[in-house]
Amino acid sequence: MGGKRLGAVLGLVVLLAVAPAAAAFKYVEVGQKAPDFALKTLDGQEVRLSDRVGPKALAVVFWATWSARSKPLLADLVELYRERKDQGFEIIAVNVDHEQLEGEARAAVEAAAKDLPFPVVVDEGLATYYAYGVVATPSLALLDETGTVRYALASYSTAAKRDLRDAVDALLGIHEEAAPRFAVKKRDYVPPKKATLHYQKAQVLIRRGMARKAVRDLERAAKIDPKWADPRVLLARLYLERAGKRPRYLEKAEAVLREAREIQPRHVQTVGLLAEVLEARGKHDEALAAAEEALRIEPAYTPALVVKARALRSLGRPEEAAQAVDAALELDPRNPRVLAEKGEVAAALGRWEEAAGAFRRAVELAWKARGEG
Amino acid sequence: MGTRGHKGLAVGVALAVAVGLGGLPRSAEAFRKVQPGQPAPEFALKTVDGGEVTLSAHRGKAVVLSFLRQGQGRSTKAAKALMEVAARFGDRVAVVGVVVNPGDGDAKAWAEGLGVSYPVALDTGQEVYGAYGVLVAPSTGVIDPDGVFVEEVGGYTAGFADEVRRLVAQALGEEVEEEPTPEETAKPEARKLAERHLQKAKLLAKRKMTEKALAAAREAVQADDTFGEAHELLGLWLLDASPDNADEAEPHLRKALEQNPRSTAAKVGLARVLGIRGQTDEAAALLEDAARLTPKPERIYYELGRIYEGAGQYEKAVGAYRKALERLLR
Repeated sequence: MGGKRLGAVLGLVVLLAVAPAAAAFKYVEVGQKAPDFALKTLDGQEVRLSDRVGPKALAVVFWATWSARSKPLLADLVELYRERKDQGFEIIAVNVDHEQLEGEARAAVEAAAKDLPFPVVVDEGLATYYAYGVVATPSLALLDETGTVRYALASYSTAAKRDLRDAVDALLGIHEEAAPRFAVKKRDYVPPKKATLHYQKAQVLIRRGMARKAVRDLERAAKIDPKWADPRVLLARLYLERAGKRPRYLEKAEAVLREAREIQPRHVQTVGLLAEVLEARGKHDEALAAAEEALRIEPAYTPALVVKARALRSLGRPEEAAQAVDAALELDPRNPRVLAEKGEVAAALGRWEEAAGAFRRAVELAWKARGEG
Repeated sequence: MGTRGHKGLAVGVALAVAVGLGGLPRSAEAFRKVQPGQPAPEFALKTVDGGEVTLSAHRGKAVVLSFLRQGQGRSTKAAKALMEVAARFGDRVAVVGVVVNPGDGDAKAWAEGLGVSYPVALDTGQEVYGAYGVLVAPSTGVIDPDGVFVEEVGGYTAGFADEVRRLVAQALGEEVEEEPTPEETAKPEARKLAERHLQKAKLLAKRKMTEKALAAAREAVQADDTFGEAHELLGLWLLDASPDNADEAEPHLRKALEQNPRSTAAKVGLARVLGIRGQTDEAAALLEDAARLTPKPERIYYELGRIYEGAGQYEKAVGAYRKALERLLR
């Protein structure tokens, strides 16, 4: 049974492990085609992403009225849209307030969307939210005229405002000097064919629920090519999955992640995963440092905020843990792992009623996520 | 707390399915990697008598693919029940049994002991099992003549053969209303009537027409008071509709347990009744007992957490929820 569950989890992990630094979405990375969706606007008209692809720059923004940073992002997008519309900039705003948008909640979204000059669609059942694997709300994917994601944004800050504008302008061909930062990065490293074959075979095995066999191929790929990070990160995930029964796998996971970090130091998933492994090994100080390192790369990377909270809690600093977990909760309030950590932090603070509520929600969300995943 | 008795019938159905209750229309989790309407994954497997069986070789026929665990009683029953399906549709259907644990004993001897005439294959590397995302055995899927997955039937219950027959007819585009089989004619009129009422009730419940579903389920138990499944669903649905229904739900859940003493869903329902009445300890004891008897106790720990939380015993609620989460988040 364990193998099946592992396979199901890792089917998604495969995508995750190869994603570059931008981490707004778990399952969509920069350089990939954005998954299609067909969602209805508030007044019931269908908007299909693939029909809208074509302007030089198309922003898909996930937002919610409950998310504090959605408001300034939408306001800045309105401004940018007015300035750049004629040069080929379009926006689709995807509302992710609730699974079912009814009654007062619907009225609140309608009020917030009233003056937006671009289409606002409702993500019924949050299928698109889950399909993209949104890790923070708001999040934005900027697509080029072929529908390929060229830039991704998790949460929103003053600094992000400039980045977003530069990314849009780069796609529109304005301000050429901004372009190099946001050009689609070709994978600059080409591993030897033999290593690639092992890596691809491992991916197939994982998809078929044979993670155990995949380990061998990944170990081979890593051995053949000491300069390739991807098989190491994926291997670490497999080790971590198995560590529940055999703690020595945690040591192995740490070792391959440290190698991966040497190879690509600014890869947020690698560093975040290293933090998770260190925490599981009981090295709370190092875990905290790694989580903070990941958060310096991507401040809105919720998995790192969760590890940070866990490490702080283990270090007997539950008040600081509460801050970290609340930050994660604001970015990704539907993530069962975030809610579970919220429950642990509340329990550590002796707030049992709050803890029970958070845990209950975590269980309910875990089921929901499974249904989707 | 406003979360109890909340989400209508869907939760009751999901709960009943998750804890392995008999006779529901489908278990949403039997095949995790294949959805109705999608092409069914191709496979090629060796059979116990040395032949080979593939899915594509059966294009033009409906295929019944049944994942079986050797040595397991329910798998044996499912395998034998499928003989009836094979006989009924003749060469319009191909039944294929797949042993998911050929390494756990002499699979050939076990398959021969079944006395079935359709091929029984060995999924030695559990590759097909993995490709279809099977979680439990028996799990049975029906594939149409174009290779499209139609629907699944999780587990084995008294209505298993009927359900598979209905799905095969659907896959073949034949009339779903069928002439009664010998088994059906032998059934008392009362049960047949009750089954029709319950079928209707399930459809109504799916469409979230709560009151009508409850009415139809009440008619089912009126028609046949020994119909455990109807008592069970009626009891659970009543609780989902409102905690105020606890008194009406209780006798139905008790009757369900009389008919099927191992029913986890009925135990969970009864525990909810006790919880609503403030008999927290009794409810907890019942759930702890139920949790020991099921391989997937998450739902039960969740219900236990709800009961403690409702009683204001938050620390214990946290403990129960943690147990559920441990299994869900690993």
